[in-house]
Amino acid sequence: MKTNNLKAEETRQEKEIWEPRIIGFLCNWCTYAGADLAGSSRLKYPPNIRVVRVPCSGRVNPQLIIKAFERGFDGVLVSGCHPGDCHYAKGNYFARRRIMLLKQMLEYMGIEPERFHFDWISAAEGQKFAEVVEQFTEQVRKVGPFMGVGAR
Amino acid sequence: MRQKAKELLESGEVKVVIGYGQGSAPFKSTPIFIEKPEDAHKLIWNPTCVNNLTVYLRDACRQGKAAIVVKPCDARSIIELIRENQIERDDVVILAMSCPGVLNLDALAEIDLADVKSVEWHQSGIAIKTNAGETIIPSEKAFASKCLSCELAESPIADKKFGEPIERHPIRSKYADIEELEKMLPKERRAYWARQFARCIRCYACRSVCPGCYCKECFTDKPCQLWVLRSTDVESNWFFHFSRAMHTAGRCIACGECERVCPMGIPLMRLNQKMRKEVREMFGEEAGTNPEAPPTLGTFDLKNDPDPCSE
Ligand code: SF4
Ligand code: SF4
Ligand code: SF4
Repeated sequence: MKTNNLKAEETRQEKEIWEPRIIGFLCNWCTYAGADLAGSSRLKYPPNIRVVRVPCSGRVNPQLIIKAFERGFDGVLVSGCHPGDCHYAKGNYFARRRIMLLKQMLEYMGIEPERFHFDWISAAEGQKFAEVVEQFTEQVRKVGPFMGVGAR
Repeated sequence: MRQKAKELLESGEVKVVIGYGQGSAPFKSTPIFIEKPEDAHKLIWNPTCVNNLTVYLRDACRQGKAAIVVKPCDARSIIELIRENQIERDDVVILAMSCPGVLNLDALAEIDLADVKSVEWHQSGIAIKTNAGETIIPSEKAFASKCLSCELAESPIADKKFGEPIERHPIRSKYADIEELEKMLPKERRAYWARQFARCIRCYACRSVCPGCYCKECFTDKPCQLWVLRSTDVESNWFFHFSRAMHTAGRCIACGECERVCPMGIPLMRLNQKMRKEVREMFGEEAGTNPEAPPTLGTFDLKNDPDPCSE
């Protein structure tokens, strides 16, 4: 299955129709609502992102992100409530530690730092959500297609 | 140490003493579990006592109070087990040995193994006695690489100490290997790890030997193939190793056991030491030093934690 992914990747690249594939883990209470707002306000942002709604940024087990890269996603976005605003009071503080560590390790494992982005986006920040997705998509586009973790 | 072990068993204070016994050859030791005072003489202490025995401690303590023979580096695992509520401090009697360093089996490459009679510490390394006489292997060659960067004069936690504290003069930086990797481009590092993990046969020895990997149910054992596939393709291996590293984050005490037991010679310490370095730099914590501290990733520091958005 993964080899298929890679093959598909190469074909897409050959045909020069490659579009970054991005997965976003968004907190239900803030960023997901922010994304909703962006939508209902008819803001434009790139369609490259596939959104997974999670209850809290603290729910984002590092394995979810590791898995996304293992499966060949070009970029991963994680976003939750601003510090101090967590629906569960402190989930995002736990997330912050984990994500910081994961960020360093992703780079050490050879994932270009441009492929991972973390942000605090509230339910009222539809505009910010659209901008973040826009910028991140461009950033991932610049580093190019991810050839998979097994590429030697 | 044997005497103390005997007393502990005789008085009934402990149910078992976990220590090192003579292995299948004079250059090997094996973990032993002594339950009768008259067996205490089977305990040995020499450079072949390589294993980190604390991997057995959690289960042993479930059966009753246990005594354990530890090197200073292994003792840090006990601190971690207490810190993470896996054992109680009162459940264990720590017999802390003073340790000049343990044997790196590769050092015996030029010696006829069948001929080895004994392996002992010597002031300038390790002395191997054979029928032909005695060979002194100098420290840089004789000791495991973790010992060459060891900074522990004595055990950080103990009930009874044996031997004098050791004056340490590390002759190798513990970050030497990872600095080399840090200099590479991300692409090169990815290729490096892909080459390493391509060899992994996923025997899970690295996980089973780790005192920090104490979960009763490991994600790798799940029959569902959602997280980690049974097949040993590079991608699955990468996923396994990255997850393992994240799971031991903040609790790996760098005993080096995972790397030592790996039949494929995969440099796992290059992952562990990087993780330890980041934990220290970002959160100011070092696993195996403070049994009172909350687990690194089970807590946070409102003011001082770095923020991934302000980078
Ligand atoms: S790392 Fe230190 S305490 Fe551990 S075996 Fe080596 S010399 Fe002994
Ligand atoms: S011990 Fe080595 S071969 Fe076995 S699973 Fe661990 S890294 Fe892979
Ligand atoms: S990950 Fe390896 S070095 Fe770290 S505690 Fe476990 S066995 Fe020891």
